[in-house]
Amino acid sequence: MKWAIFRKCIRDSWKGMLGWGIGLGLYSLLVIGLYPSVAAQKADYEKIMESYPDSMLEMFGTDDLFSPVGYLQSQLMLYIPLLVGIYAILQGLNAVTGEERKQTMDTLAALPIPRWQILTEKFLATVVIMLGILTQFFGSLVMGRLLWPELDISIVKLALVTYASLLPIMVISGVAYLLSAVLPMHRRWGGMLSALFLVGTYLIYALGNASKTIEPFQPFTPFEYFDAVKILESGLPIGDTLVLIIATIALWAASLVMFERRDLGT
Amino acid sequence: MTQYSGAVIHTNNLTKKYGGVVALQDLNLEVHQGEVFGYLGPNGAGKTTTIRTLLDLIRPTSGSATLLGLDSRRDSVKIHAQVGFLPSEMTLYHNMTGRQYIHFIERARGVACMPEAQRLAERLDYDLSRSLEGLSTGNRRKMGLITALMHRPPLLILDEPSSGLDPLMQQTFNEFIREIKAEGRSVFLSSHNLPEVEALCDRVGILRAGKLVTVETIQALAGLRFRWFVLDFEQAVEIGKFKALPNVTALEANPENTRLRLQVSGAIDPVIKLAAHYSLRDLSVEHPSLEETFLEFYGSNNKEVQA
Repeated sequence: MKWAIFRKCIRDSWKGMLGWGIGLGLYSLLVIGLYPSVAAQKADYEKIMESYPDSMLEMFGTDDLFSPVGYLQSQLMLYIPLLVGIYAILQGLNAVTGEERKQTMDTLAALPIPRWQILTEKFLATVVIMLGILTQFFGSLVMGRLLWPELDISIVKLALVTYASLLPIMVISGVAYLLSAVLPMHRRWGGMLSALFLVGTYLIYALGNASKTIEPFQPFTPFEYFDAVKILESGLPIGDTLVLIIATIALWAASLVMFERRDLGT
Repeated sequence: MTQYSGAVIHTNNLTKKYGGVVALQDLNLEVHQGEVFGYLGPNGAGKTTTIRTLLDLIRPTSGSATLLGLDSRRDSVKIHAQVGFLPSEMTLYHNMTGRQYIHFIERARGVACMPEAQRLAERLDYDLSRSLEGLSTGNRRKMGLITALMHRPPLLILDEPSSGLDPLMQQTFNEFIREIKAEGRSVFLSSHNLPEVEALCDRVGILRAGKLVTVETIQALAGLRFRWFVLDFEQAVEIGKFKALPNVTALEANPENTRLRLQVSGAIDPVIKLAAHYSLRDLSVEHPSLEETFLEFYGSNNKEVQA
C-alpha cells in the first residue's frame, strides 16, 4: 500500500479528531468531577433509587449506580460508542459518497491504486482517527482519576475499557461504510440510515434491558457486546470481542465488494 | 515511456446502458500510437461515458476495451499508471495548496514528478503555492492539466481539456499537445469545439446519441465542412447563377433578391468571383455549429463506421 490516501484522510480529519477528543474529555472530566459528591451521598441516592422500578435501573446496564465502576458505566461508558459513533458515521459516509458529492472521486479512482485499497486506506484511517479520539478521552479519564481519587479504578482497567469501545464504534462506522458503498451519491439516505442504525440499535439495547419483548433483539446490536462493567470487573470477554471484530471485518469486506462492483460517481 | 506498438486504445462493441437508456452503443474504435485523436460530439453524446468506461470508473454493459494492450477492467491499475487523465469536471481538494496536491498525487503514483509539475506550472503561468480553494474554472483546468501531464504518460485522455482556458493558455495547451505528439505519445481528446480539434488532431471520431457516426482524418473533415456566406447587394441579383455554382449546396434569398445566404462546401473562389460582378454592400461568413455539421452531413439515419 502507498498510504497516500490514508495520510490524506488523517490530514483532513485531525482537527475534527482533536475537537471530538477535547469535547469528550471535558464532558468526562465534568462527570468524574461530580463523583466525589455522589459517592459522599451514596446512601441517600440509593434510598431514592429504591423507589424506582427495577426495569429503569436495568436500562443503565448496572444495578450499582454509585460504585466507581457502576457510575463510570451509567454516566459515561454507556454513551461513548453512541457519541463517538456519530463521528464514525460521518467518516464512513465521507469515504465514498463524500468524494462523489465533491466530484473528486474520478481523479482519485483514476490513480494507480486498486479500489479495494482506496477503501481500505480510508477505513484504516478511520480506525486511527477513532483511536485518536479515544486516546484523548482516556487522557481525561486518567486526569479525572488523579484529580478525584474517589473514582477508584485502576488506570490499566480504564485503558482497557476505553480502547475496547473502539470495537462497537468500528461496527457502527462499518455500517456507514457499507451504506456509502451501496448508495452512490445518496449521502442523505446513507446518513439517515446510518443514524437510524445507531439510534435504533442503541434504543433496542437500552430498552431491551427493561423489556422482555425487545430483549431478543439485543444480540443484533453492537452495544450488547460492549459491557463496560464486565470489562472493568473481569477483563475483556473473548466471545463478545470476537463478535465485534468479526462484524467489523464482515462490514468492511462487504463494503469492498460493493465498492469494487459499482459504477463510480453516477 | 512505454514502447507499445499497436492501437493504444481499442474498443470492441463497447456498450453502456443505464437501465433502459443507452449511453454508448457498440463502440468500435482504434487510436494509434503517436496519434492525437479527437472525440467529437455534442453534449450528452456519450463522450464522457466512453472515457469513464475506458478508465474503469464505470463498467461496460457489454463489449470490451484495451488501453496500451491492457484490458480496461482486469488491468485498470496498470492502465492508470500509464495514463494521464483530465476529467471534464475538474474538482480539487479545497484544503490543499497546488504543491500539496502534487505531493499527494506523487505519493499515490509512487513517482517523483514535482520538477515536471513546476515546469508545467511555469508554462501555464500557475502558482503552485496557491490554495486550491475558490479557484476559477480556468485555474482548476490548469491544475488538472499539470497533474495529467506531470508523470509524462504514454497516453493522455483529456475530457474537454481547454474549456475555461483563456486564448493565451489555449495556445500553451496546443503547444503541449504538439510536443507530446512529437515525442510519439498518444492523446485521446474529447471536445465539442471543432476548431480546436481541427488545430490539434490527426483523426476525429464523431459521436452522436451514443453511436460512433464516423471516423475521419482531419483533412477529410475539413473538406466536409461548409460555411454560410451572407451577401448584401445594392441591387437585385440573378439567383440562378449563384445556385448553379459548383460548391453552393443551399441558397436562401429575400423577396427582393438583394440578400443571399449561401451554404458553401469547399472552395469559395467561384462565389467571390460571381459576387464581384455586382455592387456588394456587405459580406459575412457564418461557421456552422458542430451540431449543424452533424445534421448536414450525417442526417438522422447515421450509419456506423468502424475505425
